[in-house]
Amino acid sequence: MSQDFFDAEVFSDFVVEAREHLETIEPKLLELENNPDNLELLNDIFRPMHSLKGASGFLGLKDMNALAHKGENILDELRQGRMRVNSTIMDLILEATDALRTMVDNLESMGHEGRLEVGHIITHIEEILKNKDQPPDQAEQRALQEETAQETETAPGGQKYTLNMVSLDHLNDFIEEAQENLAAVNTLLLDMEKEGGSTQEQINDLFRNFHNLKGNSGIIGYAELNGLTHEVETFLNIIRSGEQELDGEVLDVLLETVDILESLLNDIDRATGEVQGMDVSETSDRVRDLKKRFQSGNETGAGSVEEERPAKRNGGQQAVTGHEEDSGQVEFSDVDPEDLQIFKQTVEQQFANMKLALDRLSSDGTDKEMVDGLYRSLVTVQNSTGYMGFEELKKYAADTANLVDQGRKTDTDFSLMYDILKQEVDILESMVGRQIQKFAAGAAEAGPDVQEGTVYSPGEKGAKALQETESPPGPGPQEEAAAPVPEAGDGTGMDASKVKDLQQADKPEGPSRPEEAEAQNIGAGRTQAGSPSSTIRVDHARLDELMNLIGELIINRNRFTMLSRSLEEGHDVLEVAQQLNETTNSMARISDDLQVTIMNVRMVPVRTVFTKFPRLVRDLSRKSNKDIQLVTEGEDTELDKSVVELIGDPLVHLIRNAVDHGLESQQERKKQGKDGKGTIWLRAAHKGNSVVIEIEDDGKGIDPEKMKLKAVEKGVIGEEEARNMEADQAVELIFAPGFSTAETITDVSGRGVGMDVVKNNIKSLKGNISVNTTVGRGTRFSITLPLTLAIIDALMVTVNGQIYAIPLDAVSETTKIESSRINEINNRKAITLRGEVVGISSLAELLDLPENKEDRAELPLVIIMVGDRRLGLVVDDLLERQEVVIKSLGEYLGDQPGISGATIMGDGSVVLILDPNEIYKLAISRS
Amino acid sequence: MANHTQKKDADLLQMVTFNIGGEEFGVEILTVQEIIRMMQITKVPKAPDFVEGVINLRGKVIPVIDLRKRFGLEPKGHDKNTRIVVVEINKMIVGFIVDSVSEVLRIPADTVEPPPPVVAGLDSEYISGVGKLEDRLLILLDLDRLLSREEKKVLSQV
Repeated sequence: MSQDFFDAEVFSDFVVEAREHLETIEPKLLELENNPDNLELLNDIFRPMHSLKGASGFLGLKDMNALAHKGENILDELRQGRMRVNSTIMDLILEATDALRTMVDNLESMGHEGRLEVGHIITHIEEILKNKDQPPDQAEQRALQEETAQETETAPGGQKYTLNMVSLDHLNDFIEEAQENLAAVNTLLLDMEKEGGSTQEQINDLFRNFHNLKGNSGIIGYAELNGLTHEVETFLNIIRSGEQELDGEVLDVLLETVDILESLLNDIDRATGEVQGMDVSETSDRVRDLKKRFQSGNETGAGSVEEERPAKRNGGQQAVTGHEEDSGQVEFSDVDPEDLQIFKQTVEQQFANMKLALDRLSSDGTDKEMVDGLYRSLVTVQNSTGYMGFEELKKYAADTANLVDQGRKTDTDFSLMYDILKQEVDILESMVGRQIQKFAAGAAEAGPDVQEGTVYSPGEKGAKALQETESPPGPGPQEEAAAPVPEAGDGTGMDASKVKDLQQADKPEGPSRPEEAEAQNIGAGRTQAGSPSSTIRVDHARLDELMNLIGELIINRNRFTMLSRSLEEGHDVLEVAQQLNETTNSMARISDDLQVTIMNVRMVPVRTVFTKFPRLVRDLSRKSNKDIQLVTEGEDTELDKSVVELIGDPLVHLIRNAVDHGLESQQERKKQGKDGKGTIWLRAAHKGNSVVIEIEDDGKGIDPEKMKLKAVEKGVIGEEEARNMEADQAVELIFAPGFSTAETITDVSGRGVGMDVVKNNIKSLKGNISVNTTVGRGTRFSITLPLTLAIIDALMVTVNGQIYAIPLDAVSETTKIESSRINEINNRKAITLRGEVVGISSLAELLDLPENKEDRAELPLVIIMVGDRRLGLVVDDLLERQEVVIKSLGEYLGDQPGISGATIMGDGSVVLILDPNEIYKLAISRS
Repeated sequence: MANHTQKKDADLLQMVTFNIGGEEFGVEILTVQEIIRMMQITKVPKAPDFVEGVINLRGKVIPVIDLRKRFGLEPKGHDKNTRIVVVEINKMIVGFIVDSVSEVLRIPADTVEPPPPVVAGLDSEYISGVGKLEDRLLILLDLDRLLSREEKKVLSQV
């Protein structure tokens, strides 16, 4: 799979990005359904779809790319006003985005797209596209253009055709960029003329500009422009490889070409994208003539070039650094000879593969395997060059890879593209060859063995001639030392025949082989590791803040060292103690700041989850034939990323329930004098140290009596129990396992697991869910979630000789009461606290621990708040409050009733953290 | 060469052996993460009886199981020989309290026999086999089963 060639980081970045795109697309699509004529919305949808197509194409994710491409096509039709938004199209696009989302999910969990059947969506879109009077089928058109691109040599003039553009914007972008390129070329050429010569740098600039022109015109399908620029590019590459200068004649031809190119550009009808094909064969002939001249000059002139070299390379390093300018970014010293060696071997292999693939393709242009192989090789070269920091090479390889990719997406017959690809690969190969040559010759670290690696450009005779001439007179002492090659003296004896023989050259390189094998192993291991890691985007400013804090931390550490030294040296203890105190305080401040900063880094807005729901509600409302609107509020509320990731499923359950059980049908609502349209509110807001998410509906509410009836029927509770049950508790039955009141089980909900699961999910997030309902008016579920899972403020208490932590959030107050004040009401202990009756329980009893038998006159009491209800807990002793880091009890112990986790104290001991909600429930169930 | 030694390795089982109630048990060395001395254990209320509590293993909270209690043997106070064998199985890290740890043994795989129905009062389903040493028997524990079984039990109690 082509994906294997990318590292995990690229993938996870893509996953994040793709999700973001889909998240942008979906809500907008829904909005669009209501405002079909909003062009801006369409544009907003089009853009991310386009990016998605591009990114997936880049990563070689074929199915995704094909699907996104179709989605883009149909969106474009809508945008151009050639089609109207209707529900069929909307459903189709939504289906496509669903499929895309699944693929992204697969990508994350399995490391590949998965085998999703997308064919029917694509066919469907194609049908729709065909059913309206659309200009000639796009794929066909592109194939045609590629064909013409091949045949530019006989480019038939005067044929009118439409450019293959995504949009008018796209066309304008193209024209603008092309004009910029041409302007740059013009300036360069004129400069050269004025100076009466050219530098390598200028030629490289020229080459780049023409290369861009060629690439862009190829994408847009402008055959003439593409053909001509291609010729010039090839020609310039020869000049470049030969490091020859441009003379007056060449400049004339090039300037003429620029004129032609300009008129070709002007020829584009900006409104329709139509061009009047011009005859450019004359100009391209002239460029070809030039090419021939220089090519032969290169071949026969190898000798003369050779003679020139020593002079030019006078002072070795400097001259070479001079050439270096064309790749710019890399210094020799940056390149590890081992890396270079591995790089060399990798690209050698890839070029051999590409040649093989191209050969096959020349006879059978439809061999998919070969095309894929070619693409993979190109991507590998692209990655390798990128890794080595050869930006220009990387770009070139990427462009070529894209070309192949475009071709294979449109099912082009590759025998038609053979020539152009062959040329591209040759150019690339000679570029890589020269790059390696430079490093090998220039970098002292690179031993003679590296030079042997320059072998693989047998295709470019000129370049080879150069390589042979560029080998240094002999290995310097440094070179010998650095190169782990057994026959170090070989560098001097290196001759052309040896260079040509790849096998022979490889043999003495034994020592570096295992490294390569290892590198491959590492690579394989990485791809096998499968799912990419979860990533988070961080504001740069926040990172800077962290860095500052780390700086302070280090300064502080040094102060501690200083203090301990002054103690050793016998300084005044009191003074040192005071300083120690100060330092400890500043340490505390820094760690607090660090904590806050790192928490902020982990925070993401709940919007990422909320955006899923408009779509869900839309689908559900269609399925259930209820008219429903969803109102979301507080999407910007931030929560810890791990919480946001896990809160989605419970919310889906709750919303489904609200639609299915909560809201009445339209008729029923009207009968009751309600608005026919039901509303579901989804709100998020901060509340103290936690975030509350509410799901409210204005439906029929939950009838406690019905709940009791059902619960008895299902055997969740006994009849006796039901009679004594308060309305609140009856409603809470909704969270009991195996409970479902849906009279008909629909495919939306009603399997009797929903709320149970919701509750457990939320509990695992250290959150709490409560329900508030009024019969006939509606139901509100409130989910309270901690801002972060990692650190909380807690009150420490002792029970039965062991310390426990109670989250401070839940503690409303602590007090001491005289045991005589405890009353018994209905077998429950209670006290009156400032006029309010509060039930009390012994924590030891609730935790099944031995009771404190001491006869205590005063009992320490912690009053906890759960929702609106209060409960007093009798403990043995009240300790201080403390910030604790929450740790899980481990999978093995899983959920222990009443305990939500553990923390580690300063002395290394483990302290359990109590779960106030469960403690409350335990107390209720006891009485 | 390499193949040969590998083959030999495959035929040899490397076990960590320990004592509980006078019986010698063995677990495969690869599952054992480390062996630590007894340390302060925090009791977990309402946990099953054989769960001794949790400990802090370098910043990680892990549960500790008393194998004596687990096997239904007489409880015994912790002494200087008592050890916690920390194992990792199915990504779960759990400590087992044993009376003492004896040695690391290599035994040929072919000396291991299938377990008899009942050994030292524990169901044979937790035993993967019995290794015959020169003068004694070694009970090979199937910790994987022991844990997953317990897991189910613990969960059903909640």
